Amino acid sequence: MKNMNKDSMNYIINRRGAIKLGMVGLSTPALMENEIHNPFLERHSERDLISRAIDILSSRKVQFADARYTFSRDRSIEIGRILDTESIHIGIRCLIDGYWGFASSPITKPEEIERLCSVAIENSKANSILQANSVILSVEDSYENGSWTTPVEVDPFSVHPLDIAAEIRGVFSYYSFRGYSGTLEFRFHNQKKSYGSTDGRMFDQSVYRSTIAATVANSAQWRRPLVIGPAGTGWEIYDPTSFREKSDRLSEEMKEDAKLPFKPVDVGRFNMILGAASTANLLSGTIGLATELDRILQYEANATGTSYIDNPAEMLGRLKIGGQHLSVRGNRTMKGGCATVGFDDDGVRSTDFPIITAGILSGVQTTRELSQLITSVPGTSAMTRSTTGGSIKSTGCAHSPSASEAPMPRTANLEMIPGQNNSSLEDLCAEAESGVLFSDMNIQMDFQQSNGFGSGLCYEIKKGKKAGVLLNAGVLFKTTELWNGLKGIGGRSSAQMFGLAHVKGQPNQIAYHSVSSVPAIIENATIIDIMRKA
Amino acid sequence: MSEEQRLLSRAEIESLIRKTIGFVNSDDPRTNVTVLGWWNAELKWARNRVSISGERRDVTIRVSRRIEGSFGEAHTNQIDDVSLMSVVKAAERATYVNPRQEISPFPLQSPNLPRPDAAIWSDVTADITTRQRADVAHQFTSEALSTSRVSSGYIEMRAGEIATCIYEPDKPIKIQYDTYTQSQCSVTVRDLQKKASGWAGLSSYDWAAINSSKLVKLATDKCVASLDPVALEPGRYMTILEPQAVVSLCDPLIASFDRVEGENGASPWWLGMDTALRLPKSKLGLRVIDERITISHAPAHPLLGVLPVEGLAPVSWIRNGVLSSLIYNRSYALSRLNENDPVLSRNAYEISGGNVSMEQMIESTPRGLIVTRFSGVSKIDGISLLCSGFTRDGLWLVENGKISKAVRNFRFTESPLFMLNQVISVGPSVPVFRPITDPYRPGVSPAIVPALQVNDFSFTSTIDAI
Repeated sequence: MKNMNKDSMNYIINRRGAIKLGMVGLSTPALMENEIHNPFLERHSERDLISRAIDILSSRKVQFADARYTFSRDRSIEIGRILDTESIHIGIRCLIDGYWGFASSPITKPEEIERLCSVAIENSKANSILQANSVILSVEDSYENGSWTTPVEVDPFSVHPLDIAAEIRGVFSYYSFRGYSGTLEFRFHNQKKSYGSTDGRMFDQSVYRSTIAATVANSAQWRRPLVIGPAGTGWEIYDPTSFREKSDRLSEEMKEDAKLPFKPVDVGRFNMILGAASTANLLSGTIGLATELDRILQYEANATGTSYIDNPAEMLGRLKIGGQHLSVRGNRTMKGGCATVGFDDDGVRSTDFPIITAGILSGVQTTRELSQLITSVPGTSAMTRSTTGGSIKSTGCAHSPSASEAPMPRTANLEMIPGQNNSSLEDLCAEAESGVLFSDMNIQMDFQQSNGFGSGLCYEIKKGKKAGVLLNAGVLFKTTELWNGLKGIGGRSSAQMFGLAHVKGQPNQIAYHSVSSVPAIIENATIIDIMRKA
Repeated sequence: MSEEQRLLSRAEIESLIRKTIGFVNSDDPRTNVTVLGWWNAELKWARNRVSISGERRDVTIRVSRRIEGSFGEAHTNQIDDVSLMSVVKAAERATYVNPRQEISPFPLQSPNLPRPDAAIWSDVTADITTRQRADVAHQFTSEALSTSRVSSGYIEMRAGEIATCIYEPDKPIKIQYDTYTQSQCSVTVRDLQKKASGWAGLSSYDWAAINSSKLVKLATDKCVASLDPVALEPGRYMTILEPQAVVSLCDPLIASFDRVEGENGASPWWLGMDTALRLPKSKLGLRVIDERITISHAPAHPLLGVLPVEGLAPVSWIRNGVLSSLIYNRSYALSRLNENDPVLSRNAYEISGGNVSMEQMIESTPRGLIVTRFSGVSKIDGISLLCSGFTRDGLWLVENGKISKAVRNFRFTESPLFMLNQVISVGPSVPVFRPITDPYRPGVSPAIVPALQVNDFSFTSTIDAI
């Protein structure tokens, strides 16, 4: 990893200044350049803290317990606003007699660790004395001293904010030179985590996420977003040349669109062509969320809802969700993915696994606890029985935004397998001949991910070309009908990756995942006017 | 929240703020320091078992600085000297990234505006024990187990403190300190075959105001009554909206009460240009909804209390159907209205009630629908406030004054403005469920809302979800 820290000054934590002022001793490990800022850890490393917690928990007769330490940094920079946030949390989770307890705090002193262990245990026991229960966890391959870092070329926090501001100003001058305007914001996130569990797993992990959120405006009416990421990458997400090219292309595209006639949408059944961004949103809403096993098993019934997949043992290997072309994998190892990690929040090594194979439901997303709630699973590789324990393995989808929050199952990165023939979006438009094209569609799903509607920038396609911009166009769909109408998809070179965020759970937690998708044609889509009432 | 659970005492928070201000370079030091501390207890159950129970606490120190017209902000949750100094420096350095802006000649607030004296602290909420929470959950799950249904639900209690200080040189340090509690309880009861679902929920700063037995019964009754739903044709129906359904459609309306937007066009409250005065005109003073409806907020109302903010005066957004107030800041007040005080926004509100009971509404409905609540409401159009979403957890057909059958859920496309112009009758106003907000952005948004019987509510398609 290159260090771009030109003036060798950490931005938020000016340690050198601190040394000068004699506020901290030179012997503390945290004083090293780019070291985690943690004054509470002057005598204890994160590992020591975790070990201490695990020792306490092991001595307290828990079935299972784990401890997390996180140091999270967020930075967002735009002209006129800059926000730096850092936080340290420690979280303890324990399982006693079938009940989970959790406790977290920003304080990492030894006495607080002890208190957190007691609070978590008390929370388990308060429920276990009222009603018997049992929770079985999958047996996973063991490892010691796991370590993983998002492969970034340049740590975004080592780039000085003044340099980033200068880049932004440079982009703005380029915009005005090219005769348009816009906005530009950079967002960076890094979280360093140390994890330990009572069954002997320990790892350190550092995860990065970077986003460029821009808009390009030819005029007050012609303004469009240009978003790169969020993605599991570093400062290299910003490539000055390609960013300027993308901006130019978007500006040109808007000029082309301005020449097209604006038409009211024709309501009815049409071929629908989806840009890769539209496919990504649809996959995430209809397949990603619907195959989280906790939703399927009604754990989210009182919050974001359940799933149209309601009987996984019956439906796995049988339910036809889409056409032959539709194959989707869950993947927590995908390069650049927002949900790409080395280890999940159950301490399970990340993996990839099938979700839909040639249109058939072939896997669901699980954690160590959830994986044990599927009774029979026909022929899926991710859910094979482990050699050691005879239990079905987890797909490694446990996630918590920080140690402050308890983990829960979240969607992995989704990887749509591209088509064999190397079709591009233009090829698909030509193939469809007539229909509508949604280049970037927002969707709204019901609380079982079953019915939904999408809307967004929509073009009329005639003779394979854009013939007009359709106003207030939307599509009404049912998940299985939508994907069973899948007639063709783009090839490998048309694949793009998009970062998406979803809110789930009580209390609400936000999580990011990436979707690698290709353009697609759906036959007989129900096109509606979203402003029309009954 | 026992003293042991409380992260920082009031005295500790105040000394923390003083220490932070001590790191401010005194050259140009307009500095805001905010300290948030909270303790949260959370218990979630699903499939008739508690799935997790926990307690969390955290603190956030926010420093924002204004130097020569530039603005910078930084946050940390660590309270040692190095962290406090670092967060001040980070906020300071952030100002160098930002261009100088014209400093508004008007301060955000006029000095010494009154603060509402709202009661949003409850010892019952703050002192609840782990065991008491477990007992509440056990009451819900054992009821569902004994009737062969599946209960999922969530309870949450929070005790929080917020201290703010605006530091200006040569002025004494004044620290505003407030505490608040919040609690919520909601439950979904489903039958074993997943063919019916019922929901009930309530939130209040005071856990004592939440009757869990009543919620168990309500959700169970709704589940039982939702069995065997029939599919109806989409269309416009006379509709009885329970308070929980009314509130989720009224939230976009409350968010639209902005005077500047109302005079700029992209708002339901834009009327046009006054050709004589050459000034934009809003619909202030015009009747915009049914005259039986008043939408207002009084911060000192015991059930509508919010975190005290200077200058948060009682307001009526709509009085007897007439648009009577819109939000504006102090600079607008001084420059455009020659007034001293702003009208501040808030999420808490009351919609005036009537005296028509749910039974009377049903009796007077020849053919119509009853909606328990909506899910996934999103605004489609900012000018008409047209929204879309789904019905959830209880939808019934009324025929000839009687509930005749359960109905499959619908997607709807409707505007709160249309709804409030089609009112047939109004029920008594009651507090409703409002999810507790993210603890890092503390805020309380209680609402007191009536059930409404309305004409021609637009249901646009059926959905499969139960």
